Amino acid sequence: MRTPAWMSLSLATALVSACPAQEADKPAEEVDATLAKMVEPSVVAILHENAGGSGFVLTPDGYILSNGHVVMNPDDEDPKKTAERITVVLYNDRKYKARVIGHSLDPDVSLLKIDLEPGMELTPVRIADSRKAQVEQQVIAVGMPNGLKQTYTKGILSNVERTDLGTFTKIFHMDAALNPGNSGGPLFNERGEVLGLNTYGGGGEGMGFTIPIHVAMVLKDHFLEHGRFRRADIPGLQIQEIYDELGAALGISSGVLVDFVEPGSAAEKAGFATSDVIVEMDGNPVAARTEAQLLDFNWELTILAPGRTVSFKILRGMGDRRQDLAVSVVLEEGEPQPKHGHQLGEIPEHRFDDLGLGVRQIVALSRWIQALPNVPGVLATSVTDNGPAQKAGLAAGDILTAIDGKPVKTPQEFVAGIEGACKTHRKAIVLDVQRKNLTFKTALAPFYELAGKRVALMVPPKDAEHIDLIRRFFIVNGADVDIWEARGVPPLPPRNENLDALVLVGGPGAKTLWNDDLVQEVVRDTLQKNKTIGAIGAAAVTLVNADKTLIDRRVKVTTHEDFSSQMSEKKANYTGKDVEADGKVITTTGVDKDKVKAFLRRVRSSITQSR
Amino acid sequence: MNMGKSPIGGMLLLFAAGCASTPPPLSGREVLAVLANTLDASAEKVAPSLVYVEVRGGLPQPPAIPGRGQPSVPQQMGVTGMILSADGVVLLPLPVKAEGVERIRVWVGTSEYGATVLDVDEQAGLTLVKISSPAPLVPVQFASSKICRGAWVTTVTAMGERAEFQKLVDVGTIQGTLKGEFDRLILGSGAATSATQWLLGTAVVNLDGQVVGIGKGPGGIFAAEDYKPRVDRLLAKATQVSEGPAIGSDNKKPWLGVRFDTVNESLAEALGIPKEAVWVQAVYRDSPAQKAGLKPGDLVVGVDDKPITEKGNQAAPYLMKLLAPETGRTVTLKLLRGAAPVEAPITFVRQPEVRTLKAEDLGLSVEEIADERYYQAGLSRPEGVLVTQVIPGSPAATSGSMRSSLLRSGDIIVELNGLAIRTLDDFSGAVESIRRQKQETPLVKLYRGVVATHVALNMKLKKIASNPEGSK
Repeated sequence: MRTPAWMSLSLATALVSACPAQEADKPAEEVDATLAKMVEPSVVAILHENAGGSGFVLTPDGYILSNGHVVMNPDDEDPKKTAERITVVLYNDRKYKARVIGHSLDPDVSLLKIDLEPGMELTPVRIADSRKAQVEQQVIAVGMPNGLKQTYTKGILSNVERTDLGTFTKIFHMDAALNPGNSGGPLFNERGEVLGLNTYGGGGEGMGFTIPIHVAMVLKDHFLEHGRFRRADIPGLQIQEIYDELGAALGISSGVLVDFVEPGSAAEKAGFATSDVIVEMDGNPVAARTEAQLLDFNWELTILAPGRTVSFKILRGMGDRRQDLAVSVVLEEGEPQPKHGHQLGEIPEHRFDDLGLGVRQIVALSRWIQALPNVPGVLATSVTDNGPAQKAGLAAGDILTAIDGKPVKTPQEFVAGIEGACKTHRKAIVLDVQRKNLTFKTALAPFYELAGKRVALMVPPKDAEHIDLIRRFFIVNGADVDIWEARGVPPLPPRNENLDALVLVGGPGAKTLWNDDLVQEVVRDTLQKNKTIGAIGAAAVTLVNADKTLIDRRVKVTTHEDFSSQMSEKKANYTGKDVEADGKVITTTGVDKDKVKAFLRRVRSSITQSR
Repeated sequence: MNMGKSPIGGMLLLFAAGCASTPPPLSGREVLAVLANTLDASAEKVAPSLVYVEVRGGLPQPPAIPGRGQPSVPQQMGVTGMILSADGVVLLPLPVKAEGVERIRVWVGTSEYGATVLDVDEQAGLTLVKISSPAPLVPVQFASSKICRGAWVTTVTAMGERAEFQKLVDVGTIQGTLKGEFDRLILGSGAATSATQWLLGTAVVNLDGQVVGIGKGPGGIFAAEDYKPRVDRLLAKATQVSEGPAIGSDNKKPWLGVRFDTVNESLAEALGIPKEAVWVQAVYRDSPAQKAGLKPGDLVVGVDDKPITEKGNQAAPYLMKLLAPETGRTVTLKLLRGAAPVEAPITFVRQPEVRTLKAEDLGLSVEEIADERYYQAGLSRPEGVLVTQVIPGSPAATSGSMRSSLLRSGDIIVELNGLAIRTLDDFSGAVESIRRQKQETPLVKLYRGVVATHVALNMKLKKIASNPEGSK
């Protein structure tokens, strides 16, 4: 369905004026060569620690459009994580550090910004009206695949409304070759205007998929304004197109069918019911006969502002009993975590490595997709082999509804519940489980490897990193954990009495402790007592500052590369390794979760191996 | 094994006495030859009692493969059978559906016989058939003692015509036992493959030529120890009823209509409940368990006077052993309901058959939703009818907009042609109403997982009656 009133303004104005007639007279080679000359300065390569792709220049001052997946480096626990060191390479081989302004995986779009030297300007692309794209129209894909400088491949639009790829929007299908690294590059029409954002090759000849540029530009606007894509939603409402047979069966000529309204949802509260037919939205007629039209309707709804009230006219009942009803509903921002811009597929996993269990928040859409019952709880999403969770008989897809008889509704409550039980070394943590339509109880039996051990965490006054991860690690392992905010370090003694390990937590704030007398004293004391001592990232500098004997004894240490100069100044035995363990001194660069986890496991074995 | 007569035994005694003494030790080649002879002799001993059997029709539904759905029922299957009596009773290692059997052929050596079904034990998965041989046959011998780990065994498989009705032999050692309602033997990999992946019914034989295990395909190798009592019972029954087959009596799977679940040991400690117990997880509608008043959350701790003595994952198989399922058998379940002990007498009945219906014109096969299926498959609703098959090219597969298939197996239909569907009868009535009204676009409301959806079938797309003059 098309309802012009809902079109984004930025799109409606992005129109076309291009050199039509004279180019058509030229031989084909010349047209293409001219196009290449015209667009070459606008196409860029994007490189980072994980991979990269292509992109193109939107504005003279350095905004670059690309795919979301091109800039991402996600893991299960942080599915929104972007690459940390992104470099944009211009056509003339000049390189710039780039930052991500916003990104989304569906639609697969990102916006980057590079900072140019004063007075310098880039050549932006010209934007076509991709809603007018036609099948059979000639297209040229440009990108930087396989580490090559720009490549140009040519084809036609094979289909302009692919709806079968599991995306929220229609996708262009075209037959210009796409190779790895083409992602994020532009698809030009014959006039050298951008029709779309090349996303992926479908693994077959003539299977290239491209996001229409009018969709990408909506996301660009959202990224600039909000830093994320704000997806408007009516929670609990599932709609379907009314194809001919369905129309005949319902006795309806046009509209959109309300397939399902979830009990208790916002849609139900607003007054929708399963089997209703929507015929008007804000006074404009609504109709979708095909899936493509349904996706269009859904897209136009999605890009409205959350918080806005939308009114619908619906039909309810069949035949003579059919009645007209009015329903109005306030649009909400889509699940799961609107505040953080998380969308479905981007729900962070809360992982207890030592219980062999990871859990996630349950959102309506994943419940629908995985056919989960509508009960409050958290979803077990990973259960590792031979861990306590597997021994308890848990499996991915189970909904955990209570800990020790106390209901849990959110991952936060679940984490708090598990940590609370572990703190008291509960031998068995009783869980209530819902598996599809069965309920049962089981018990997690943590293996408290550090039971009876005391660990102190020295936390910088601000900008501490990975503190939740570190604290949870020691708690789940059964250690007694003291958290010392640096300014609150208790006096010596008794603060180091019976301490089995001291961990200096990293993060930018750890720099403020580099020369802190009190902290240094605690460090020296721990070293003298021959206890395990660990330091993460910047905090490793505190370690070498505190005790000169570490340097004299050539004890191997590592830290984040940003602080290597401090290490070399002190003539410390700096190795730069991800995790360094030399006797009971354990250090790490702390650049990401995996390094910190490896570090914590070394600290643990150092504590348990101590006699 | 008689150590005195066995060359291997003698050899081992020699080694035990010290290798230096005379006569000089056997060479490796000689040792292997002696071993091969010994094993071959044990296989030879059992070979006359093993027969190749071909069953056509009436075969059981193979078990579902996780993630790959329900495999189709094979039309025909060859298995190894075992002769149980001199007058021609043969044991088949699978439960045939007697009413569906087209033909059973048995080859004793290369002589071919027709066979009739005597009785079926669905619980143990076995069938007795009878052949009429002019000469007395050699019954198989089951080993009565438990076999120890490390013992050498042979696997003997009776092959069909393509292998010229030979008995194929492989060799392995017993590595261990998995406990269960029927204990299963773990064999060394080569022999295990021969015993479980060639034909059903491969005999696992000790050095005396006695059967210690029966290959049950993917089900593993059942220990004869547990299997034999079932065989004996069936044999006794079959020989009592000398005239005619016992089909249709009580040979269906014995059923209580209850779903048991393991008690986690840590949980038992935390809750202060016995570990040697099994949960009642679900009680099915209209079942003996419901009649006996069982409730989800009940803890089964014993049967009659016998307590469950195994814990954890072993408890449920042990309970099955105590229950010794047999249609008509009554047992008293010892339960804990909360802290209160409860006794529940309960009688096994034949498992009711799940009713199905195929509507060719719509392009659907459906079945009623039995509680067993509801819980097993984790269906989102207990009422409606479950789509089990969508016929390719039919209205159910092809109508509508450009979609893969309008209906899918696993869908639960709750409304058809404006009529609410709770049971198979409702569905049958609705299908009749479509036919009667010549409804061209009947509306189907269904649940796919937890979400409702609507489809309309285009009945014009149903199969066109074949037209010899061709279409215009």
